Amino acid sequence: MASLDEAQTSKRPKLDESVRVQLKSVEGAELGPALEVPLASGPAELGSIVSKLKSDTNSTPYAFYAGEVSVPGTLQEFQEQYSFSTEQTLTLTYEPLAVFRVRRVSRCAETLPGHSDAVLHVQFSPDGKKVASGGGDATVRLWDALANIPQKTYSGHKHHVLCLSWSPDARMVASGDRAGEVRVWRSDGECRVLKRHSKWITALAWLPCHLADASQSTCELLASASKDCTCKIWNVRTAQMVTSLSGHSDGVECLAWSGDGALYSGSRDRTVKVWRSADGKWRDGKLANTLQGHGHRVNALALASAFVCRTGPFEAQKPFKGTTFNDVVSTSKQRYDAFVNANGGHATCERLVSGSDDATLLFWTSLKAGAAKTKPKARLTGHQQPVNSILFSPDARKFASASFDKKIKLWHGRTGAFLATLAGHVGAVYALAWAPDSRLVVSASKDSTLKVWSAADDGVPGSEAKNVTTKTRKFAAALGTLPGHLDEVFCVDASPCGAAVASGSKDRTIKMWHP
Amino acid sequence: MPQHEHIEQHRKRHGERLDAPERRRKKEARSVHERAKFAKKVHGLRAKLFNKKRFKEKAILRKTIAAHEEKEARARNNTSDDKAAVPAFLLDREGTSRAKILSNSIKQKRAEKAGKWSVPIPKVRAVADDEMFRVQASGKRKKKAWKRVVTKITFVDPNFTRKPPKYERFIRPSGLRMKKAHVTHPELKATFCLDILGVKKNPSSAMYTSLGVITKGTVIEVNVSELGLVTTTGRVVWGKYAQVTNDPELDGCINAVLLV
Repeated sequence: MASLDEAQTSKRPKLDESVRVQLKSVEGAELGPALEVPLASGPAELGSIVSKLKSDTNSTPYAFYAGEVSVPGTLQEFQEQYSFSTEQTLTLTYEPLAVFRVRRVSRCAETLPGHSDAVLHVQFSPDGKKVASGGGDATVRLWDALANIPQKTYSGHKHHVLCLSWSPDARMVASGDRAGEVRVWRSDGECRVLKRHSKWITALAWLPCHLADASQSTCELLASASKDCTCKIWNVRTAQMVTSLSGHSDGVECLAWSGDGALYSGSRDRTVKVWRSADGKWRDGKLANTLQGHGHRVNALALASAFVCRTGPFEAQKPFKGTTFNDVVSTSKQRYDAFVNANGGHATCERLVSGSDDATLLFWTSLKAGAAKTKPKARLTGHQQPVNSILFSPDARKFASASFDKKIKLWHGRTGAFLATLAGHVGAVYALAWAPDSRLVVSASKDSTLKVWSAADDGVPGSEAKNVTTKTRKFAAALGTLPGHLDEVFCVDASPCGAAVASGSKDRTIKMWHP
Repeated sequence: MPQHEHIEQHRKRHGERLDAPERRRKKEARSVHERAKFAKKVHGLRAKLFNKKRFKEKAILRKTIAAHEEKEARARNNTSDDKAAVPAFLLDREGTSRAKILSNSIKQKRAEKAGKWSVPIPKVRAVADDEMFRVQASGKRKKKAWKRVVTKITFVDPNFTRKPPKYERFIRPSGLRMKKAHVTHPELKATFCLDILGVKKNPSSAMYTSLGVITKGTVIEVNVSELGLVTTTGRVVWGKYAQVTNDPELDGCINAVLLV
C-alpha cells in the first residue's frame, strides 16, 4: 500500500517544480525574458502571461507550440509525454486564437426540400445571411439562412449545376453547369450568361475584393475552370470574356485566386499552374509558373488566404456597415492586411496546398511573384486514397484534408507537419468546412452523415473528444455525428459568421444544422 | 510419321476430293441435328451421361453469351450514368463503380412505408410434413418410428451442438446443409455470394423456421457487410433479409433476392 501511495504522489505535479520558458511570437521575436513557470500551468496560464507582457486587454486565448508540437495540456503532461529536461529553457511559440468561440452544431434545425434532384453544391454568402444551392435539377436556389426559408429559385441552366460561388461582396452568385455555361445571378434578379466553355465547369473563383477596381459598383472579375482544359476570366458587368488561359493539357479540376492576385489552377495533367497579370486587369493574364510534383491528377487546391478572400469585407463578429463598393474594397483591404500581418508578412503569408489522386499533398510556400522556385516545401503523405478536398482554417494556422480513404487529416498550416488523423466515417469523405473560429471541422461523407471534429489547441469546453495518442499516430474521434440525410452527402458549408452549417445531399434536401 | 496417320499421308500425296470442303461444311451443319435426334432417342445410363455432357456444354455457351451481353450492358450503363447528378469531383472518375453504391433513395423509403413484408414471392406452396420429413426407423429392432430426417436444404448455425443422437428427433443431414446464398440486389441487378446468418421465416410452418429449413419463398438473413450499405446514421449495415427464389433442394444452390 505504501508503495502505491508513493506512486500516486509522484505523479501529481509538485507546486514548486518549474521550468524556464522563453515565449516567442510566430515571426520569431522573443517576448520578454525567459520566465520561471510552474509545471502545473497550461495554455490558459501561459496565455495570461502573454497578454500581460503584451499589455493586451482583449483576453485573447493563445495556443502554444514547442517546435512543431502543440502543448494542449499542462507543461507537466507535456513533459511526461516528450520528456524534455527541466534544466534547459523551453522555447514556446505563442499563436493567437480567435477571441470568440463557435458552439458546435448538434441538431438539424431545418430540412429544406425543393430541389427535384441531388443537391451538388451549397455555399453560404460571405455575410452569412443567405445560402445558395445548386442541384441536378438545373436550378440555383437561394435560401434565407437566418429563417431557414426559401427565397428565390433561379432557373435557366440547361444541365446539372455543378458549382457555385458567391462574390465576396455578397451581391452576386455565379454558377457553372455540366453543359459548360456560367451564369451570374445578381441580387436584383438580373442574370448574365457567360458561354464559351465547351465542356462542364469544375470550379469558379472571384477576384478577391481587395484587388477589385474601387471605381466600379460591384465585383467584376470571375474565373472559371472547365473540363475543356482552359480557365477563362470573365468580366461579369459587360458579360465578356477577358482572357482564356490555356496551357493545361487535360481538364482543369480546381481553381483558387490568391490574395496577392495570382490565379492557381490544378489539372488532371498533374500540374498546378500559376497565372499572373501585370496590371491586375487580366487582359494580359499569362502563365507565370508551373508547379510540378504530383504523380496523378490534382483534385484540390487550398490557399491560406482563402477564407479572408472569400468573406471580403464581412467579419464574423463585426457587422459591415459600408454601403458603397468603395467601402467594400477598403474594408476588404484592411482585413487582408491584418491577415498578412498576422501571418508573417507578404513573403510567407501565401501558402498553397495541392491534393491529388496519388494520395499525397504538396505544400508550396514562397509563391511571390517572380519567384521561379518550383519545388514544393514538403510532400505530405499518409492518405491511402485520392485526396478530394483540402481547406485551410480561417486563421490559416492549420489545414484539413479529406480523402476517399474515409479519413480526414489535420496538418500544421505553416510547416505542413502532421497533427492528427480524424477517423470515424464509414464512407469516403466528400467535403469539409471549418467553423469561423478555426476550432471545429465539419465533414460530409458518402455514408450519409456529417461529423463534427475538434481541431482546437486550447480545448473546446464541453468536448468529450477521446484522443488516442501514440508516438507516431494520433487518432481523434468525432465530437458528434449528425445523422439524418437519407443518402450520400455531397457538400457542406459553414456559415462564415455564425454556428450554422448547411449540407446538401443526394436525397434532394438541404439540411441546416444548429448548435 | 505415326503409323495411323495414313489418311493425312494420302491427302498429302494425292490431294482431296474437289468437293471436300463443301462436304465438311454440310456434315458440320448436319451434326447438331443429328445430336438432337440422338438426344431425343437415347435412354438409360447413356442418356444420363450424354445429357450431363450436353448440359456442361450449354452452360459454357450461356456463360459466353452472358459475358458478351454484359459488355454491352456496361457500355449502356455509362450512358445512363451520364444522367445521374453527381458533383464535379465525382465526374469522370473511373474505378469508382457507381453500381456498387447502394442508394438509400426515396424509392426505398417508399418501399419501407408500403410495408416491410411485401416480398417478391408473396404466395408460396405449402410444404406438408410428409414431404418435408422422412421417417427414420430406430431402436434395436428398428421398430420405433419417431425420428425424422429433413429432406430439404437446411441452414444450421455454425456453433450448433447436436443433442445426443439417441434423443435427436430431427436429423438435418450434413449433405443438405448450406452456408452461402447467391443474393441478387434488385436495383443494382448484381449478384453476390453472401453468408447466411439465419432463417428469418419459412412461410410453411413455424417449426420449419426453427429448424432452419430453406425452401422456395423462405426469408433468410444474409451478411451484407461487404456490399458497403449504410444506414442513415452512417453505420454499416450488417444483416439484411432476402427471399429465396428457387427450390434449393432441386438446384443444389440457394438463389435469393435482397429485400430493400
